[in-house]
Amino acid sequence: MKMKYIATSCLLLGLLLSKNDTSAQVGLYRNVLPDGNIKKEYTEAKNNQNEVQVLFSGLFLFYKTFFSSQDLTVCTFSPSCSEYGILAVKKFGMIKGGVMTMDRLTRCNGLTPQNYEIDKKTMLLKDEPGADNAVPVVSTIK
Amino acid sequence: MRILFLLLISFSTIAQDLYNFENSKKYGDYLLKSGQYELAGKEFERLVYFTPESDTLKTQLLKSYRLSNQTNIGIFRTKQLYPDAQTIPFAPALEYAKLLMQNKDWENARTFWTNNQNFKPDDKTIFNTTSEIFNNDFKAARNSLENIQNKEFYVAEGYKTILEKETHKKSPALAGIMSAVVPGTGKAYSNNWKDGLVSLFFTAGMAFQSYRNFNKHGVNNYRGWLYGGIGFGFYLGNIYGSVKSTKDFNKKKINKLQHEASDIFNSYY
Repeated sequence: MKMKYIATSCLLLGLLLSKNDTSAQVGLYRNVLPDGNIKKEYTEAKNNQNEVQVLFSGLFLFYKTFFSSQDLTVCTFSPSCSEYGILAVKKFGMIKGGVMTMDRLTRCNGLTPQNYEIDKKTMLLKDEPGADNAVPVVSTIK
Repeated sequence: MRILFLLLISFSTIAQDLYNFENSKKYGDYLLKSGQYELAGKEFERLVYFTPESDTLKTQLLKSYRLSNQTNIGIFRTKQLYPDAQTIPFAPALEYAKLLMQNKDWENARTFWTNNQNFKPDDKTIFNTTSEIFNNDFKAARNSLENIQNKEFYVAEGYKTILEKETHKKSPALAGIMSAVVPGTGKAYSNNWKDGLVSLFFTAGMAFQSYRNFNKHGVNNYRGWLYGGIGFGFYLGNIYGSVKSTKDFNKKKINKLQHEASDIFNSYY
């Protein structure tokens, strides 16, 4: 009978200690792991020069905040299609930038990766608006 | 005391001067061969200071500057070491020509090798052709290559093959027209048939949805116009994409030919 009390109290004490230990471990890693609520800053939507750019930056931020944030990163390119769109509109204007974005949307299929370089940072296909992908030839003269 | 005596004896008898000319030259050569071009440049500066009359060392110095991408310093140093550009000996003159080409200073490069007395006429022709190929001026390169005297010179033969390949380019205008008639075919023409197929599906899908909604809800409803607008955007994007895709195809092809020309040039000079 006495042994029963001793065993029960040992068990309770063990549980109490292990609980404290677990909470201590959780506390140890609390600030190390990201909690998923980090606010992203989109530099593409900054430094607008005119009303059209402000409008498109607004649309871009609306899409990023309410639609894109609810989904996984599925775009095969870096910058992503929405980022490419706002960059293209800012660089080439609304009409050409818009047409370039529509073309980019049809290319975002991952079927022709051989046409692009790989962005080492994001491990996605590199495709910036107006970028020239030709390899410089003269510097290779040994 | 005994240790100090032994050290003094050993240093005075068997120690070597690491900074003398011979050892510095060995070190400079090692740096150049092992790809440490910036350090090699500094070492060869010392060596050129030791023996200012050696053309071999000056060539190695210029080579170090060229391979470490310090082309402006290399060009400046050449002008200091050889004030008269017309009489620069062959090896350093070749390095100077390469430096000018690397700096994309085509006009000065052309003037330099035309006036230099130590280049043969065929060398000058090859340099002209090379600079024109690197500068995307293939028409001028064809004209320059006709001046070659030794027709069996393998660099000239290689360049001839490259210039023949350059004529087989694709037309961006044709790609645009093809995509305007049947969406996606322009991309297929520039060897991106998968992208072309996706473009066709996108445009055709939107056109079909628009047609369906116009039939069902009439022209006064927004649905048909919305799908039609998006489809028209894809259609325009596809025409632009086909032209760009064909231009990229040609650019990549020319870039490949330029690398082939660079390989032939480096194998001889």
